[in-house]
Parts: sequence; structure tokens; C-alpha cells
Amino acid sequence: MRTAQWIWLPAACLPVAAISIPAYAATYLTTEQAQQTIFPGQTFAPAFLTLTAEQAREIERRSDANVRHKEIQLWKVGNGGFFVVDEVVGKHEFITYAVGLNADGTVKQIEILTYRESYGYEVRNVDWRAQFIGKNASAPLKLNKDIKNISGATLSCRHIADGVKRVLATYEIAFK
Amino acid sequence: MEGKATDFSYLKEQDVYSQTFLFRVALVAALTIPTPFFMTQAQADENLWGYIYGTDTLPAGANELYLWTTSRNQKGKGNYRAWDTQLEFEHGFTDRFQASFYLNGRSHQISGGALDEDPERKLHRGLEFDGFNVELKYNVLSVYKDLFGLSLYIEPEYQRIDKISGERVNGFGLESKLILQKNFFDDQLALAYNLTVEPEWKKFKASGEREKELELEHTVGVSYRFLPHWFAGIEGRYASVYPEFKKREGDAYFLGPNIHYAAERWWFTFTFLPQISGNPRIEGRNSNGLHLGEYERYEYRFKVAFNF
Repeated sequence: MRTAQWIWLPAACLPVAAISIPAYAATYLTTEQAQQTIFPGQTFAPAFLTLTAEQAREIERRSDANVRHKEIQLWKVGNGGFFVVDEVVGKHEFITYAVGLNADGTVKQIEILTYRESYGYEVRNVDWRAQFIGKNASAPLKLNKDIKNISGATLSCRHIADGVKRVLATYEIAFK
Repeated sequence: MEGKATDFSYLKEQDVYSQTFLFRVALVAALTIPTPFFMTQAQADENLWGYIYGTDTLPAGANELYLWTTSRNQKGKGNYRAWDTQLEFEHGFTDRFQASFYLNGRSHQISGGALDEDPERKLHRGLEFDGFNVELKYNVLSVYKDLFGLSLYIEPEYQRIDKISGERVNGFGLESKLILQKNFFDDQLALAYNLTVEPEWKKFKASGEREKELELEHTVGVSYRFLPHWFAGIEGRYASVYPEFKKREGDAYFLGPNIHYAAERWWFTFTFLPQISGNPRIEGRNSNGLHLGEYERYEYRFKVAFNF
């Protein structure tokens, strides 16, 4: 085979790869399923809100995490708690997750709704997510401090921890 | 010396032809074996850049198969085209340490006085087995946890074909890299720097001449995720060579764009890297301020990788 043909061999592989490699993108829970998983049997009242620029700046200052969206998907729970659906940056796509807060602003539970990355699926592990239970806005939520890292899934772990920190700061600024 | 006239040696040397055939079979097999057979929840150590390494390593137990092709073109005179092809298997032994094994291929099209040191050289040689490398990479600091990422890299290499002239050699190299990376904006913007030092020793088979040189490179790259799965960036490269490990003989600056796409189980990166300045300029050829002795006017690199 002539050289000129060989140089395009890698390019020729792309459609083969695209066809032969199955998609692993996964939606694990819908919003409704996540609500019932975190707050079984409760009622949920939509309370979507839009942060002001000043609130967003204050949340960023307190959480040290970027506020990517000023529109907050918030539900007030019948027992006085709060339910938030949020997203953080994954390596290739966004990771969608939900945070349930008790009435006192501590984390009741977090759930991963959608995870589309090629790695880091371990963030769905119950033990890893359980580290967030009981945390409030004053908790560091830093890897290798109060949140254990998962080797090989560091980016996802850090971004979810940052996201929960941001949700807790949002509670302090905008939910109360 | 080999190659003063058109080189048909690859048709005459049965052993070389066999090795070339086996190399091609290995390439085709690696690319056509359906990767889903192997797939697990693996991880990607994707290359955001064509020439610059990031600090990530494969997690323990993960594997990656790469195919690289680099096209190097134009010496300012005559016809010069060279292709370097690498088939690489990479494995993560721990979450911080990975090792790779490369099979290398190389081809050349040289005529019209393209080589200043050997103006009569004509060579039309297809893809042949060039040698192999072993790469070891250790991640010292994580770009996601620490202030910046830091990795160390070393790569012993055996070479059978001279990169510039295509002459047959017995060559050994030891490439080492210091890799730094810093991410910004939720890791959507990555900045990386590599310092590469590579001493090389080679003996030309036809003449028996021995040569040693030191190659020194500084490379810098920036890459931004502008859409989910898609990254665009710029790569800069300063390359210099020190024959006999003494005085610098030549250097060149390269600068060009790249594009990177990553799906869940595979990715590709394409870089166009033209030379923008170099020294010394060679008289009697269309150099335009470039060093076209050790380096070429244009380089293109394409990488595709599969995780399993």
C-alpha cells in the first residue's frame, strides 16, 4: 500500500469507532425519582428563582465556586426542606445531580441524575455520596480534607464537591 | 552511502519487507479488532494536544490504544515528505504511574536536492518498521487537586531509520520530560508546558559513521473546551539540536492550532504545526527565515485513541 494511503488510516478509523463503540451515557434518575429517593412521600412545590448579580458574587465568594447559572431549580419540600437540581462541569459534558437539604440547611442526601463521562462513575457510590450528609455551608467540602477523593475520578469528585458547596452557600444567601 | 540514487532496497531486503508486513498487520489488527469486546468502565488519558503532554495518567488497570501519524513536509527545495507512524499501547499500573509500548513506522519521499547535506539523495520508501519505544510516566501532583499538575516522563527508544534522511541506522535515544499543567474555569481551560531533553546516539549502517546529538525542546499549549466534547487550542514548540552534545547547530520555532474531540471511549486530536522561524537559514533555497535542515516547513499530527 502506498504511503499516501497509510497517512489517512487513523482518520478512516473514526467512523468505525463511532459505530462500534456503544454509548455509556446514563440517566440514572429523573427529577421526580430523585425527589422521592431523597424525600420519600413528601410533597414538592416548585420555587425556581433567579439570583441577582450581587447574590451570585456573594455565593462565589463564600463557596469559592463559579456560579454558572443564575437560574436555580429549587423545590420546597413539605417537611420544610429544600430540593435543588444542579449541574457541574465534567471532563466532556455536564454532570447533573440533586441535593436535598434539611430545614436547617444541612445536606440530607445527594443523588447523581445524569453522568455522561467515560470515567468517574464511582461518584455514584453510596459511601462516597454519604460523606456529604450533615454538611452545612461552613463545611470545607475539600478533597482530602472532609471529602475523600476517588483516585482516577478526581475531576468529577472535586466538581461535585464544589457544586454542593455552592448549593449550600446559595441556601444561605437566597433560600432562607 | 545508501540512497544516492533511487532506493529500492525495501524491495530487495526480505527481512525488512517481512518486518514491514508484520508492522502493517499489527496496525490493521489493532484498529479493526472491535474494541467493545474489551470494554469495561475504563478511563481516558486523552491528549488535548498533538505535541504537548498533559499531566494526567491512566488510572490503575485502564488501557488505551493510540495510533499517531505525523506528516513532515518541505525543505524549501525539491520534494521532501516524511511520515512517522506510531502504534502505542498504554496501561495504568497505579493511579499515578503508567507505561506505554510503541511500535514505530516511517516513510520518506525525497528528491530534487531536498537535503542540503546530501543533495543527490533520492528516496521513495513506503511505510517500514522503524523501531520501538517504552514510555514511563509518573504523576507527582494532580492538576485537579493541587496548585498545579506535575508529571515526570522518560522514554527509551530504539530507531532503525534516520528521521531526516531516511538512512538506515542503529539508533538509541532517551527522551525525558518535565510536564506542568494548570487548569482554569472549572478545568475547561488547560495550559501546559513541557521541557524535553533527548540525547541520541546512532550509527549509519551504510557508512559506519557514528553521530550523537542532544535535542532540547520547550513546548507550550493552551486548550479550551468550547462545546461539550470539543476542545480547540494552540501549540507552540521551540526545538534545538546540539551535535556531539556541544554547540547548538540549529533551532526552530513552531506555532499552530489544534482540535480535539473526545467521546466516552475514544478521542482524536489533530494539530497543524508550521515552522514560523528558525536558524540557521540555508543558502540557495526558499527558506523564508526558517531552518529547513533539521526541521521541515510544515508538520501535521493526527492521533486517535481507544480506551478499554
